[in-house]
Amino acid sequence: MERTTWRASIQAYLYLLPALVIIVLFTIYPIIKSLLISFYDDYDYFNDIVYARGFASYQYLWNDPTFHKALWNTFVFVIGVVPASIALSMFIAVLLNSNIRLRSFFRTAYFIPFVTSVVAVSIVWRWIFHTEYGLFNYVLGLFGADPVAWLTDPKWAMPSLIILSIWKGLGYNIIIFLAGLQNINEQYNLAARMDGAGKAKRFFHITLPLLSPTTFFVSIVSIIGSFKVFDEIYALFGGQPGPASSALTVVYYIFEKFYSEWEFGIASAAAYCLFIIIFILTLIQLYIGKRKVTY
Amino acid sequence: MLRDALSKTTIYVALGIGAVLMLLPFIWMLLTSLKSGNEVMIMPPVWWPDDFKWENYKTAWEMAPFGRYLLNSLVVMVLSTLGELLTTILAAYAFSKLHFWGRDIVFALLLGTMMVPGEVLLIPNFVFLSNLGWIDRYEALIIPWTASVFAIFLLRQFFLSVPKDLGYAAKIDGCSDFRFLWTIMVPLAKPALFTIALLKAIGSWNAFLWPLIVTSSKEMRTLPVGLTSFSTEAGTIYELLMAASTMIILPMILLYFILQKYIIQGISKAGLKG
Amino acid sequence: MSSDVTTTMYESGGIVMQVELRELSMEFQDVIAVDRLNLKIEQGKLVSILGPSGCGKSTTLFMMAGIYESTGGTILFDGKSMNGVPPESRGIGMVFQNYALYPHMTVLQNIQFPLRMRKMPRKQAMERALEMAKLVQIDHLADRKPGQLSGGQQQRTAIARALARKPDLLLFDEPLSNLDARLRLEMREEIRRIQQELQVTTIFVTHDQEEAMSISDKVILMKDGVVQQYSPPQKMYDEPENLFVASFLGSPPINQLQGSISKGVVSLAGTDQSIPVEAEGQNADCVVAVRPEAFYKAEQDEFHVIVDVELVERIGRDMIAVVKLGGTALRVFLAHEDDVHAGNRIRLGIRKKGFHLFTPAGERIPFQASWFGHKQ
Repeated sequence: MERTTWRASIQAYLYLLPALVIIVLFTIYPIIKSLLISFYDDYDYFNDIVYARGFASYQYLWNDPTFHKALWNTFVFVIGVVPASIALSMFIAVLLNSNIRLRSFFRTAYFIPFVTSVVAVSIVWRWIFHTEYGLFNYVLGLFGADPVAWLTDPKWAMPSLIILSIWKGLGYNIIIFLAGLQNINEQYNLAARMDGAGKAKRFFHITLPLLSPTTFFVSIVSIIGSFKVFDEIYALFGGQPGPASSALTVVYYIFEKFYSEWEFGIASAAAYCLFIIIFILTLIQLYIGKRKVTY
Repeated sequence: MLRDALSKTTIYVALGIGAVLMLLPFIWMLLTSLKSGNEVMIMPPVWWPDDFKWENYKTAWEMAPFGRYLLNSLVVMVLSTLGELLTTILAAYAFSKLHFWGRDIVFALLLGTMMVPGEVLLIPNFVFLSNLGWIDRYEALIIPWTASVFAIFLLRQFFLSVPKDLGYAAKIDGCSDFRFLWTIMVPLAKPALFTIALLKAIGSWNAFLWPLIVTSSKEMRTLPVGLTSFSTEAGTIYELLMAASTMIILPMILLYFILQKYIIQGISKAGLKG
Repeated sequence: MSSDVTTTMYESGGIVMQVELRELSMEFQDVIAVDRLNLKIEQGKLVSILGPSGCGKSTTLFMMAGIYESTGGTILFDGKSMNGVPPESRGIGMVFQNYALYPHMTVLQNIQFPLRMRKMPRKQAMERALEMAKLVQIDHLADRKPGQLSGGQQQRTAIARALARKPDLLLFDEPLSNLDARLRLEMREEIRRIQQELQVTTIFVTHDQEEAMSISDKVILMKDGVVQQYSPPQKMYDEPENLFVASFLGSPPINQLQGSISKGVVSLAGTDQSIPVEAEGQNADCVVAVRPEAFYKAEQDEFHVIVDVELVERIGRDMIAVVKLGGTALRVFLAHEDDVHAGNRIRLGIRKKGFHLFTPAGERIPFQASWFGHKQ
């Protein structure tokens, strides 16, 4: 085997140098620094002087009803988006995976929202959700429903956000599911067909279990992505976290504490809370995934 | 046979309705952007404008410095993509083909950072960059984004699939490691590099939170940031808002149409690997 | 020399190399892949390294190429130690198992690559590459990419690339294992032809005994990192130095019978039959090894053993019989016209060439065959 030598190691680290410098400075150092900042109770960021350290930021979060609301809203958002998005995208992917014409047209139609700017499409949806002249209320009106104040009524702000997010993220999940479906050997399906299994039976007994590694991956990615929702809110509600903070999420909370209130300690503490939530979710998913999803 | 045809029809109808719902916002955006003010604020809505008001685009373009935004977005997109390609090629090569002390530890450490949400990095990076005096400059928009663990991981996987013998053959042929990387590995990895560059370019073009935070003057805004401030200024002039949105959305849709093969492949591969 | 190409090719380089291994060793973690190898390879010869997978043959080759650095011992090229000399400075050309052609370059670009790396002027490199392409008969494919070539053509390209720099030593790492049977035969002859034209010292690693036997001047047979025998192929077949060598070569494999040596005979275990042989030892256990083709259908008046025929297979010109002697099944080549059927009890004579004695540990026992037979 080629042996590892000092010379070879130095050479290799020269290759790594550019990437490592960037990643250490802008990822690894900030991860540590952020944790430290969350324990700064009194901090002059401009001169990087810490006057007091402690748990004040975390205490503040523990007692801050706004943060609790942000957490709650984020959970509602995740629950609203992820299961619906997975079910819909799996359904569409299975349809797309059948032998049909116009497949690439359909795929494109579902995927396009994903490549477009969140900010720009959110502004488009702002117009669609317009209470008086919006397309959405017009269509609902055709079915006899009264106009809904989608973006200005605190009750409806979260549902609007959820609709927009499902629409935006559907294409990505479909592509991943399609790739997963194409990885399933057609012979299983044929064999099940010989055994007399109908379409529905084949889906539930063959496709779904064999697709579970993909489903597992998609759900992790979707949950983590949904926990980090921000751009949509900013653009959809015009720089506000929804009417009466009804769409205030954790990242929006971090953004406000940091960017509007300059409370770096609290913002960092909140960011670490988000990190821990995501970390725990990932671990749970990995644990379940290891136990149940192995082929 | 009849049952087959029936189920086929059901599939087409379901997919068709879905596709219309997915595309409707874009169609509505385009149509609105070409309407006059009177046609916009009307209920029931007018679908087809009487007269295509192309001047909406000109008006929107002139109401805010979109030319400057566009320039900024392009500069940031091109430079951060090139930077990322360079750092990724070098690092992925080291991780896949070179033997050095600490390789597995360093690689695991890098992969571990992928678990950390970007929001955690926001504040220290902001502090760091303001201490460097980079806030509201291209440096802040570009340099932190010139390396990506995810891209290194993707390219490393590709490099690992290249047979070892190729490297041995090149060594015997008198080709140095560095030269082997650029004359053999990089040309071979073209598809993978293309995918990485595309995903990066799309991400950079659409990025919002970071440019929002590190820019303060109009001159340094990128398109998405510019668009949100325009949306507060233009308020309810929806035909202009839609024209501006179209200007941001259209380039990516065009890019997608030209290069969809690579985008789809890249995302599928990245997904299956994960 | 038989062609113009060769004369121009080797008049300048001209040096053919002598290779010597001294105590060459290689350890991976705690596995000893190559164990203190000592041998000399004469210049201009084609030598095969043969052995089962994991015997250290490719490792040895990779050490000669300088791709692996040995953990002990020395490799000498024309008396000069190659320790610490990088692959590109060793004056070698190498052909890999999967050819290792650069997929994005044309045939000609592939062949030119080692020349361009040495900064040979473009025009001269082009001429040399064409010359090499002609030598291996792929000049009509010069502008194709490797993906558009058949396995044999890729192989030829790889050989041309390895030869382009006029190496003093040519290394082949299982070059034919990815080809189908017919192409393998063709490429085998081709490699031999090129090697003999150029008279370049060549080392050829393979796990295929037939390949090694047919192509080489000498064969190195390895097992577990140790050389078992180093000799011309026919000698290795006829005079195996140990039981492993005897059993590794030959198809069907050599027959083995348990026996014991006592005054003037070897008695065969499980039978009351014996073979008249003078060998040292009293009641010493031994292994009697007999090549399938060393048996023949014997007459009444000569030495023979009596066996029961279990099965007869006729494959073209050959007839192979499976016979039982004591409890042991033997494979035996018989003459085509012999009238032998399953269930027969027949007499088998043994030719002295093809008969060997080994200790149970596998070492050769010297002996004097003292039986009488018509066909010796």
